[in-house]
Amino acid sequence: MYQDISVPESESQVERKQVSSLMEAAETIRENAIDLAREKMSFYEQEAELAILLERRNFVEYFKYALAQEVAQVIATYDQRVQAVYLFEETANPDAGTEDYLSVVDLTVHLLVKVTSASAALEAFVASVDRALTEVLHELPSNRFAKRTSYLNVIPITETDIEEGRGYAVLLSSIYARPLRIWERE
Amino acid sequence: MILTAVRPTSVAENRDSGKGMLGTALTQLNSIFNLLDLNEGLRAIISQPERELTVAVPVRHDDGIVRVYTGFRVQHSSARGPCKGGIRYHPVVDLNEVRALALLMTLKCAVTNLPYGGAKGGISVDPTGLSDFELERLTRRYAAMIMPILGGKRDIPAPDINTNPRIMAWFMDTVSMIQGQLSPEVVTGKPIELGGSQGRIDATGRGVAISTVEMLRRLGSDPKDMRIAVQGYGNVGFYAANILAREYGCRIVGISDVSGGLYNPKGLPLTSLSDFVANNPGNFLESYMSNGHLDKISNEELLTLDVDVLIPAAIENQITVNNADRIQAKVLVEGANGPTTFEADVILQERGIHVVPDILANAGGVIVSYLEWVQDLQWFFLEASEVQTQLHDVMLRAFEEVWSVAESRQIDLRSAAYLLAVQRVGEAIDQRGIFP
Repeated sequence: MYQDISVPESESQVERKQVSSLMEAAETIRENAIDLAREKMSFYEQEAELAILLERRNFVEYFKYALAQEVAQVIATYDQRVQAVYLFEETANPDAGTEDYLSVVDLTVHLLVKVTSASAALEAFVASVDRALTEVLHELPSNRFAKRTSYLNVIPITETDIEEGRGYAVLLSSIYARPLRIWERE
Repeated sequence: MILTAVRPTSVAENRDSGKGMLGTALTQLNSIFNLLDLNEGLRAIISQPERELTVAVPVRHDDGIVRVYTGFRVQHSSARGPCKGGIRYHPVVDLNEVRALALLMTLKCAVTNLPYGGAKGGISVDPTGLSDFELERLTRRYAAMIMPILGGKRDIPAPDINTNPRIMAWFMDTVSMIQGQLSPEVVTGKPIELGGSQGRIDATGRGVAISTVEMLRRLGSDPKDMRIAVQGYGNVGFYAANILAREYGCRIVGISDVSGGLYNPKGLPLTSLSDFVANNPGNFLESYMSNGHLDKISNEELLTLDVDVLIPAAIENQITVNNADRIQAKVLVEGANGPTTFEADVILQERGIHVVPDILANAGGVIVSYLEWVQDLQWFFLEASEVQTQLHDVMLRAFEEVWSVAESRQIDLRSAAYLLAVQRVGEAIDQRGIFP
């Protein structure tokens, strides 16, 4: 009979494994988002070099949207309390929302995450995903992605927040800055 | 007296939101009619949109499948000039919502005395689900289908939720191709290269700053002594705060964005903060590293700071019954649309807090839209400084007129603004008479 000689993993080993799997997840998010954004482009742009596409506003907007979708999936898979995820933009006044055509898109992914109850674990997980995502997005061939320290702005909201119109939950009934629902639990 | 204003009330997310919004708008409109003693005929005309168009927009998707989207364009009134209003792309767009927003555009243009009526349009679609080509085909087909009622002297669309200068460029190009002539005046919010206006990006913030300073002057306060807090550091709040500080010498003591806020009663280092935001796009105020002289506060705390002026320039329904009695500012300038709920508005009025209503305070955007249209009609384009001068003059004149109504009728500025707007629309209809 063999004796079990395996040594329990140390905390730092577990942490390294988690970081490594988060980095892999972040890389998958990035690659999927690039593929999804390419699909949205015209056929003659789809084969263009990534560096060129990342200078095009329409590609960057699609890329951001695809990132949001991918992140929403990851968050919802991690935490069963997540009921729906919405993408929103920060500026509320439509009269002010018509910046010059070539101006930089706000690259931050602003998400409202509807949860059955708030949890510190979810917040910590989101922070980890953000760190990993920021690191892998720094590898993109574009200066605008290189200097950022964060990409995710995730705001958890509950049914009570929505009913009482608390904080950013008020956006769900907004007339002027309405978010898009990008994921919902079946 | 307190007159609840014609503003949309929000309801929980659902497809009937437009119905509730329209009902509220019409109820409030009636209370203004009563104050003005308008005759039944005029009431009936103003209560209804002048023209509505619903279109089924077929789009061939990249996979070859044809899908049909429902689009709307509602012209509430052309009594005072061509109809003006944005076009939104969103899954939850319905006719009632578009009707209510068109009515609000009529009033917004009237209060600033722009020679426009009001309109609104939209397509029920999730634009992020469409490819670039699909989005262009959708826009062009929709533009062609509503084109019979569009035109520089009929109805002039602009961007709104999920639409942008590029979509406006497609709009303009479609109309120009069908008409066989370049028609930049058919939409506003275009790229500068295609007849868009200089000075648009800071227009709403600049208008907010102008209203703030004018309000303070009328209350006998020197703007330079004033402590101001701004909620929201986006397109409205960012420019309002910076213009107030740099051009009028105000002391900005509190600002916030979605991540939270910063406070220093002696004044914030706005230049450094602005550089931080400009050089780190998307980074939040919470990540700004101060030298220890700034307090970090929440958005809620910012609203109740001990300041002279509060500018909510973020999102709707921020001043509510839960915090209205704790607002310490003497002046509240509504940079965002609808930041104060009806109930909170009543509390603020009872407490003697002066509110510059959104319909007036954030009209800078539509004023610069008007200036863009004028430039396109004349093929003569203004420098940014000239646009700013014109914007300043229009805002000041509007403020003066609203103030006069409030003084003469002894009502608050919000009520005065709506009253003035309805009166102007009523007079235009009355003077034009009924055709035939």
